[in-house]
Amino acid sequence: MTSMSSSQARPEMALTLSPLSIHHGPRPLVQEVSLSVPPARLVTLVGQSGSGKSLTASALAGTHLPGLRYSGGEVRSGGEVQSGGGVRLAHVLQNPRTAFNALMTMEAHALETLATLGVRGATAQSRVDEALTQVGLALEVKPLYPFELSGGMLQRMMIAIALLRKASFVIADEPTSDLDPRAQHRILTLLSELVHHHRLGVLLITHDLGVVAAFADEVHVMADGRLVESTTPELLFERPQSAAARDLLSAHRALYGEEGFHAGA
Amino acid sequence: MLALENIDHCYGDRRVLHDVSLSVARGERVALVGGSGEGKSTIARLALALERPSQGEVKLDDAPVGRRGRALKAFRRQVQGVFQDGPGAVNPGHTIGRIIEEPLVHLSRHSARARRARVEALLEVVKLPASYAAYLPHQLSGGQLQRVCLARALAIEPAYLVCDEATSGLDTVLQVELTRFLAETCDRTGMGLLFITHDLRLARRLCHRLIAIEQGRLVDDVIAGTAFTHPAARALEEAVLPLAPIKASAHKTHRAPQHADAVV
Repeated sequence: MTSMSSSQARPEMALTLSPLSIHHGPRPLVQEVSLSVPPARLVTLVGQSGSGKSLTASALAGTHLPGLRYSGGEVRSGGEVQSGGGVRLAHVLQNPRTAFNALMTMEAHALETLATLGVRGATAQSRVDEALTQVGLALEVKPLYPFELSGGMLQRMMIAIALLRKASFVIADEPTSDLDPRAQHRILTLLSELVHHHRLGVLLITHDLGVVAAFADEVHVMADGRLVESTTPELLFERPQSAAARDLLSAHRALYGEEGFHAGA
Repeated sequence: MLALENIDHCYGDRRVLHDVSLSVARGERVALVGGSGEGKSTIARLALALERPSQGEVKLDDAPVGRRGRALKAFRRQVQGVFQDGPGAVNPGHTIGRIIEEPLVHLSRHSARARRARVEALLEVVKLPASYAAYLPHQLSGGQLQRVCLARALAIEPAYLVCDEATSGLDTVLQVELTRFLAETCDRTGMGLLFITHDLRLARRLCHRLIAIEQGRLVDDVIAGTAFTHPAARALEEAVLPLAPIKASAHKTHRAPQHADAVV
């Protein structure tokens, strides 16, 4: 495991998931899904609720849920098999509030993260300041508790902690679904900058094709536990190949009033 | 007409609403849009008489809302609400059928048999299988529970429905289906709708009129299809994600909205 700064060069190795299947009893939830997230790419995984996209993403992040049977799904990066909780990979969840300890300040969270990597003292302090600045948080948030921060600020803090962990890859599951559009825009812009300026590889799970249109380099579509289409945003919007992609697109266009359904004003 | 008239509202010393007046007519669909923490949900709770305003009045058909007992019950029969947190808004020990039936028990005179038939019809309306009536909340997904909450709110055929981010946690396909269904219900029954959301796309799609709120003040009020004029409302417009990929952009660094708040 290297310990280079997030802005320095990293080995150009993609994060890969070998064919993964997940069963609940006899019922398949995810079937033979493989994925690859290259460095410096923002890869999106889209699909309706229940399509298996979150299960796939959390398996990639090393989280296996109890009661489910996992087969395949080896996660590799640079030839190394990654075990759960590996330091190169960070998982950013939809509801940041539940991911923080309510009784710990932002600074305590950050220092704890660094302590697990053996970084302490003045070095740790300066690294925390650096990471907060990188995600656009004022240093004044350090003594604050989770309840004192908005959802958008907590989501930034999650990303700051991912940077402190030297994550080369971030798996973000609907990270902005609970945020208002302005906050959403700022978080996605931040992720996009980290991808293109700091070569972070990001897998972003979303149900919003607007996110794909604005920010994605690649898009994978899941339906009924299978990967049904892997393409670029441009091709997805121009020539969707799968029924699932066409359904998502037609709902997306309806959201923008492009289906002839208008409030009869 | 469901009306909020000249409302100020305070939590402790903090004033969260400033002279808010808005009204929804029968059959009208009004969107209230704004960012997090601007006062949208406070308006929802006041409009549903879950809280009383510090100043001003909530009126239904020109009559102030009754404070308790029969008068408040009459108000509840006319005005119902759906909130964002479906799982948190149901009793985890009750079956889905009982949850949807609840308002019918308290606010209608239907027989048990009529109530069961109504529950079945409501499940169909929100596109859930009739067999779900026997399920417990934990057996359903968040999106399905959200639809259960909508079915419950519609059970007594209210004259007005207040939705506070009721579709925010759902995927696009469900959002589109549910907003279509809400529009049809309003057209068919004359129900008035106050639809509170941070998603301007949903607001525009569904509503006749869009009202923008910022820091507890209503700052804009436009007919759907016309642009906002207030800077805060325009900032919301600028943050709307694009309909399709922007051509010929080498990098996906989508332009940031044209305003500069320091924090999210």
